[in-house]
Amino acid sequence: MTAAPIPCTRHDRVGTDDPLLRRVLAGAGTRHGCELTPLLLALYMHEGQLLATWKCRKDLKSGSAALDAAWHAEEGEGTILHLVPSDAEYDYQEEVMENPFQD
Amino acid sequence: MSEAIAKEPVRAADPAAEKASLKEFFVVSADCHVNEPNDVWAARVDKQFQERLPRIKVDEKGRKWFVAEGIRPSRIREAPRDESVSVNEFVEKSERPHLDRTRGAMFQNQGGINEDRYRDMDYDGIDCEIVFPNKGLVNWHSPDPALNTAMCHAWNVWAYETFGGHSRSFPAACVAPADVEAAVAEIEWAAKHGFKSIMLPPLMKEGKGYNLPEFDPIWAAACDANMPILFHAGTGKDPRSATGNGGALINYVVHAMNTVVQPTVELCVSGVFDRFPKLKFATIEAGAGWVPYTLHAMDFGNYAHAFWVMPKLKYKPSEYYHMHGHSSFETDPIGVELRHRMGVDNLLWGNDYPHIEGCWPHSEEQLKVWGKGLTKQEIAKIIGLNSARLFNIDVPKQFAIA
Repeated sequence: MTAAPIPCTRHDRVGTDDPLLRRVLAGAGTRHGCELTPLLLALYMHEGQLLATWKCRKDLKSGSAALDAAWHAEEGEGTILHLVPSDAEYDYQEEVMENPFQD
Repeated sequence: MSEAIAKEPVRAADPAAEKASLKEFFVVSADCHVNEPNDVWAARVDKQFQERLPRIKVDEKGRKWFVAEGIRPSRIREAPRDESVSVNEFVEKSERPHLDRTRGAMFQNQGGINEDRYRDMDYDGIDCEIVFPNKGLVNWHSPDPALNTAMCHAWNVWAYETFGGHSRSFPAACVAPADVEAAVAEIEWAAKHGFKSIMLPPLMKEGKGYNLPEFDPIWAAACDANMPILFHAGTGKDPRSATGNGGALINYVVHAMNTVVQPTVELCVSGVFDRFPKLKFATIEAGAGWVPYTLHAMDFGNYAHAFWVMPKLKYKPSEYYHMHGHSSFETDPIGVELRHRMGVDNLLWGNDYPHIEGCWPHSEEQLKVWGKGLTKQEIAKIIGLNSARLFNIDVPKQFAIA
């Protein structure tokens, strides 16, 4: 079990003490050879979708495979959505809000 | 105040030549939206919230996602759903008339803060607009009331910086109701800074209803500020409850449009208007055809279930709507046909600029459809004068109805 706190800055259904996420992070660290926590900005579930936000693309490339493997080892459902922050311009419209597809 | 926006006279510049009939009326769109800058929140919220703000993230394939607390991540599509078709090809072949005018509203380039906004309004014959958020539609999604309050205030500060003192664009002040004390403070701030209306989400994440007396301080503050409460369809909860086949329409009809029925009923049956007789409200972008049926259902229930109805009301529920409520539509032949059942004075119109499901830039063409058979006076009220009265917008003398 990882000793480091799960990086999670949001207040959502699953908090930072989720035992499943702790096991996944620990397993990923073992596979990767060192803790992944320093590479992550956030790791949380939202309605069954696990989202991992990495600090940068390099960190994503370095750690995502280990996190995927640990997730599947724990029989987590679906695939992890691996993300990095972007400053890209964007808009957000109602049509986007009503999009029924899980993508 | 943005330098891009001049403080124009209230009347629009000449609508395009072919928009002749809209020149006959004072036109107020009760439902427009604005594309805020990326830093609308980041530049204005406390450090403690910075890491929790909505933002764009990019996945391994380079696809953009809009990620915010409390809602499923939204894929930002910059191309048609069929990604084998290029954007240029799609625009070229599209039969959507909007694309001729918007130069890509489909791809979200319209509705910003610059002179184009007012050119677009002039083209469509719009004199004044009530402005709602785009990005800020997620101001209420977090389960954390403190973050909602911070995001709403940041949006309001930005809206004031951008539109403050303007005579054609009137943003609604976003208010997060879960923290009642903070909501009252926000309403007082908005009143002090010249806002004309208050935007509340029709549904609250906590599942509470506006019928509860704990919200009375909000109604009191709104009355003191002489500002109507606006419930914009689809805000407060993620409307994407349905997935898969038919999901887009299920979400649109049931989880976006229908959300405004709840606060309408909550306010009309709970005695709120007996305690706050000056309070006004409007449902926005949810059409109007549902109103007559809802009024009938409330009155029938008030009679048939009288044994359980508490509190006993001074008036029938429908009468509270007639006295206090309004509903905006873009093009709703059913609502217009039933206008006398809900009251011509209670109908508002909006073009939903710049959204693609709205009627901009074809408002006049739509008016010819929904306005068929209406008197000129009825159209004048629906297309602008009712909003002018509700939002305290000055009407040029030549358009006023005695």
